Amino acid sequence: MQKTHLLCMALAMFAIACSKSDTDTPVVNPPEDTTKVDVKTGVYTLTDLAADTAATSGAAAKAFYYSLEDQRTIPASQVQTANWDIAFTGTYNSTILVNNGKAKYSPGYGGPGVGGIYLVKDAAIDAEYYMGPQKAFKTIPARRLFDSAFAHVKTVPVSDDQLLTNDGIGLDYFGPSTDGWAFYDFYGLQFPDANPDSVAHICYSMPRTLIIKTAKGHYAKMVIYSIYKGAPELPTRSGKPGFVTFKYAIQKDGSKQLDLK
Amino acid sequence: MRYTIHICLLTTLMLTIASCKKDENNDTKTNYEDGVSTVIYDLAGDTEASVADGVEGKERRPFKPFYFKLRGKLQSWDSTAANRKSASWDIAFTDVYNALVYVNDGSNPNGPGYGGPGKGLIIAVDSPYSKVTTAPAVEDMKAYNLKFAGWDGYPQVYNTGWYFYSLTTHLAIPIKNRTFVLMTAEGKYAKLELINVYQGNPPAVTDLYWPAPYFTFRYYVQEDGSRNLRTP
Repeated sequence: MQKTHLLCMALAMFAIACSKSDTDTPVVNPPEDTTKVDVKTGVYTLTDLAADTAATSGAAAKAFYYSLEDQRTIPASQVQTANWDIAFTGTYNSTILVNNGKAKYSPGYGGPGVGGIYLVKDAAIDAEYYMGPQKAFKTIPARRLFDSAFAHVKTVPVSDDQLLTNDGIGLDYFGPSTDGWAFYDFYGLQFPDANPDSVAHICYSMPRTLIIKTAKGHYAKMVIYSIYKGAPELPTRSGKPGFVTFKYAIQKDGSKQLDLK
Repeated sequence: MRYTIHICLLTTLMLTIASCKKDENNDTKTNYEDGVSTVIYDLAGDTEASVADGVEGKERRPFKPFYFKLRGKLQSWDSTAANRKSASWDIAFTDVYNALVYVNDGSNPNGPGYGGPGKGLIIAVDSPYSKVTTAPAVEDMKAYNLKFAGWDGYPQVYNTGWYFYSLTTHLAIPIKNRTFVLMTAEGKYAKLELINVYQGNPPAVTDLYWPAPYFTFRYYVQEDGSRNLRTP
């Protein structure tokens, strides 16, 4: 009887909660990571950084804030500080936003961040795998292509006013989006002969380098190898998304020199 | 004990209905009709394409776009450059579920009307359809031009859309009380309410297999060239 009442209450509360907007999602702050890393100018590879590990391909993966300067995750409560540099948002946490206090649509709007982002397209690298917007790849890009694309970028190729601040960079030509760093294969086009259950809705990383200006104004470059746990070269539907593996180089002297080892 | 549960469930159900009532679409077919607006019911999109695996009678391939001329209610599936780059359509229904709606804007390199004469613009107003009575000045229309309306907040935070979508459930949930003010291909002001993508305009769809896309929408074109969009 007691249990019935509890159940009843729970159901009733659920019913009442229904009157609120369904789009409100609770803000859950991940526990603060207090490990200090002295990140010097150099190249770093981070594996299986846990973004929203509860994410399916639903649109509303929780935003995940990360500091390239300090190599740690930053809680959402510090979104208006210069403590974070990149946010992984949206579907599978695939849209990368930066921290810019002057940009109305940056999560850091109103804060001190001076960040920016720019996608470098490398025609020679693209020629190896890319067949055009919304088309299957010629072949799944090999890891060496990611490393080549990364190495080819030796400086920031554009002036600061060409860095994006309001816009994120995410899925390549998925619906109305434009150039991106990942191919979201909605229909399973990459493997047309396979059972769609196993090949549709896979997010393939692309060997394209992102230029990041950090919240504090340092320049960095990064390539994202994978958003699946274990960073498999060939992701499958059974892969677990929400785990970001990427390589980045950061220049701490304020210059745009990114030919770093 | 059993009765208690039943009473409990009944109470819960009533509470659910009561608390959710205001969020629900209470409109019926008859009250979309205001005497001057055009109401389109269940206009079939590319119903043979599928958003998810293994839906019977559907193919796993991208949706074919279609084009719609507001005046005359003309639907066209002609994707040739000649048709795209003409003023024979005002809005194009493209991409997944045909639910990504572009205006005919000859200056938008990412839109289907690129290179044509289309003067299309589109902005969103968070207000019920009948309360949108005047279009903004053309400078403001240009300043706030969305270029398209689709999945809300995608690909950028500022891309205001007409539905919420989840890649998990594949359900497109229309946003209530959002009205779009348009400029047609020929430069006339209009307002548009995109009401549903599911057949029969059900108030809430939880079933992926509900027949889609079948568009319910209504619009009013001000043919005299003024910004007056008042409807009863």
